[in-house]
Amino acid sequence: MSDIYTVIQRAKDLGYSAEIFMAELEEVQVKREKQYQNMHIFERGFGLRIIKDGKLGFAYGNKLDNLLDLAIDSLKASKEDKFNILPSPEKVNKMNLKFFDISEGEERIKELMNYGNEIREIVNVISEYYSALNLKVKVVSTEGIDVEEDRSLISFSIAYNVKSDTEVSPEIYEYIASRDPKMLDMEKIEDKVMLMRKIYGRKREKLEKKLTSVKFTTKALAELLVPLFSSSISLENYYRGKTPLKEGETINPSLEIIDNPLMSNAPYSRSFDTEGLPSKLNVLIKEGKVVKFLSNTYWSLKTGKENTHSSSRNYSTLPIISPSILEVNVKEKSENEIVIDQVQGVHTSNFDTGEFSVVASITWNEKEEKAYRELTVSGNLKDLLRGIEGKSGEKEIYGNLYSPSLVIKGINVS
Amino acid sequence: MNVLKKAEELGATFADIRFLRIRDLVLTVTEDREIVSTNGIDEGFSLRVLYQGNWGYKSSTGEPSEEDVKDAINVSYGDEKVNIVYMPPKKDKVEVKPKYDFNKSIKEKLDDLRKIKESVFSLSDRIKSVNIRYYETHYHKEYFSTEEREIQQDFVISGFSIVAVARENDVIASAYVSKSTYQGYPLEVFNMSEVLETLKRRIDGQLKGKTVKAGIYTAILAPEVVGVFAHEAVGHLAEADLAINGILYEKRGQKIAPEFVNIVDSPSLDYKSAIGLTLYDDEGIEGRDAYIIKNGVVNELLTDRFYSAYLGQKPTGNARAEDFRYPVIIRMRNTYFMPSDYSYEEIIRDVKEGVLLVSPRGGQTSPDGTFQFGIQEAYLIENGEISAPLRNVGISGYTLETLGQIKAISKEFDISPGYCGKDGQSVPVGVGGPYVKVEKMKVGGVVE
Repeated sequence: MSDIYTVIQRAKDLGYSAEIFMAELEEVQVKREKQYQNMHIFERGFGLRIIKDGKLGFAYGNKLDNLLDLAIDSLKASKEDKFNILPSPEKVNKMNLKFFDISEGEERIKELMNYGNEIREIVNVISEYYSALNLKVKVVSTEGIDVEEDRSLISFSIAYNVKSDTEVSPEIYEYIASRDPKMLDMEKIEDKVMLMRKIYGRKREKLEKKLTSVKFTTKALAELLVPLFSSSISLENYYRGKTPLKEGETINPSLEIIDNPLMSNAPYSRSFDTEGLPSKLNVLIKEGKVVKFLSNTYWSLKTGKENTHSSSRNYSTLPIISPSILEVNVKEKSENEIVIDQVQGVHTSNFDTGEFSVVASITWNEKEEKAYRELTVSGNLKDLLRGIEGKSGEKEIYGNLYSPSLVIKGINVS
Repeated sequence: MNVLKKAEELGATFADIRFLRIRDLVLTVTEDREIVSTNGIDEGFSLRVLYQGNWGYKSSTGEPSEEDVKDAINVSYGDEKVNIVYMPPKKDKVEVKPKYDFNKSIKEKLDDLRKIKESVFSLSDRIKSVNIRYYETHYHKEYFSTEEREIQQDFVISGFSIVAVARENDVIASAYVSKSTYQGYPLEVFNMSEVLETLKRRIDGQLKGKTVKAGIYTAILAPEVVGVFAHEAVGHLAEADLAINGILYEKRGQKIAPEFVNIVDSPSLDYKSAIGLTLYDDEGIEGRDAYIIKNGVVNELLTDRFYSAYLGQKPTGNARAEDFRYPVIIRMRNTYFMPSDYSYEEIIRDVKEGVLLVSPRGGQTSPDGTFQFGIQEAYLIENGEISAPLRNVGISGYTLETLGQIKAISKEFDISPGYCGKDGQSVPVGVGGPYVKVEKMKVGGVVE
């Protein structure tokens, strides 16, 4: 049976530049609905990239055997491209991203399940999902890259509704995740569930007036803003005219957006990207101006722009460009009593133009503590960024977003 | 199967194991790149034990061993309430042979894609970028259970998508056409001239299209949109795991739509895009047609072994998993409205002001019955005639209200392919139906 270094050497001997990306995952999951479905997962896989004379070959598998032959088949069919180059090594400053091993993670899940039981006393729980995982990532190449990292992640999510005498609320989701179990604030989830019970325990009303501005919670922003912005801030999409954003344009002087992979406890933190290059903090929007697009080695070389080390992949695919943790900073403070906490249908947006038309399924009036029936929110990414009036509350992590709630005007809410 | 015997020895009342081998090829051609994006083999197993009334899974990319049985039993904790339907012993081998062979080399397939790219650019000089993605996924599945069921299945799902972005002055248009099939090499299964015509029509429609004023309209849903409605707005509500917390469970046996409305989920259909092909599901159960709505009445729900027992309903064969990494959950297969008596012309003739919704850009639903779809190709109807293309339309509403608003269903019928996401798992599905006229539908526009 082959090992990574043998395959790399064999490729080198045949005259190829080569790189292996390996991921090894061990995970325990508990999923509770009407029935429990619990899993113990072990997975290992390898992605092999080879380059010769500008031609690129790729193959993946759960075993290394025959991978090189498959990659050579791919290479023979591919088109020559002078920007197909593997990166050279750079110094990586390792962060500690592993906070538990899998058996400790499983014990922690059992503790978290007590919170799930408490929430079941408050609202009608539809499903609970717990996960604890250890992930080992390794990148080795003929160019001298040889980096490896262990990461942990624990997460909890819950879907529930609130039933009153007259109606049932829409399904409400809560989610929390961290590399470090100590950072999971379960009380905050319980407080939120209590608030939802109070608000959705009353009859939902139809919003009669047209709104000029609303407050999006961090969760709603993670659902709406993050996918649209992530696509639009890719250097590949910028180069190919598939983004509404333009370099150098000022969108909103109050706004700063940073891609920050260095927050060690955040779910998407990493010491290096999936090409083995050191993580760095990238300011994307500075004082409201678009100053940088995210890139990987290929798109950096092709466009002559900085490599932001934003390569992302799993072992079965070639590297693509993806943000790590998007940190949003807004100077001014602002408040609005209408709160949007959950949107649905974001995947129906046009990611090339930034246009969206989504349903805000969880919306309430903070002051009057009453919920509204579903609203339609439509506009485009630029309107969304341009319309940010100010921040409300402290920054929170939700998925790969680190942001306060934001008050936004100028989008169509009806 | 030694691990299944070991599971029984250790006290499991039931155990099954799924082996999956997926041979995957993905090719990408853009305006200036030709890449083999994915080429490889994904192989592993998922062992499941029912131990003291709880499920425990062990999934791995390795070879199954007695240690894996112990791991599965170790995670089988819960409320000890799992009860399932048991099946009689059965051995079967199913091979769905493609009508059009895949016997071209990777290079030849890339050559075919390059020709398509050139044809796309020849459609209009306003097209600035194109992304063509070709895929073929060869499935080899084996299923074994302690009931002595041994099922083997081999089939291929393949397809392509073409996304083109055009620019005219400051207006950006982005449109796509996506096709998938179980019948073989997709560039031969589908008529590529028709595909390119469709792409051109969508690009032109978006560049010239006007934004519809948000409001309530009479809507004609074309087969692609009807399919997404059948899938998103009705089918998901009929998945028993969602239904028990949703609106359909309590409506079983009740009339919720006109008598001419019938919605079915089928394991296989003789349509080239019916990629929800599931002759046996991932619990080794034979697939059968499930009549979700029959003559306007909620008839039955889609089930797995657990929910068949829970509801006292005959198994439908809807338990599916994306691959060995995931647990089996209830999924749709090919979901569609059945056709009725009207012609398309008759349906559109008496619409004074309405919208024709031709092609969706995805959709979503909630168990409480709300749905939301994006639409990439739509037209304004005025006095019974198509008057203008519309740009970036969205529709939303309540399933029960919308079903009640159906006034006519056409004879014309088609099935489209899709990939459905649920609980982080994606599986191929077919969706479809005829033209359906909805008297009142909430249509949302985009502020520009």
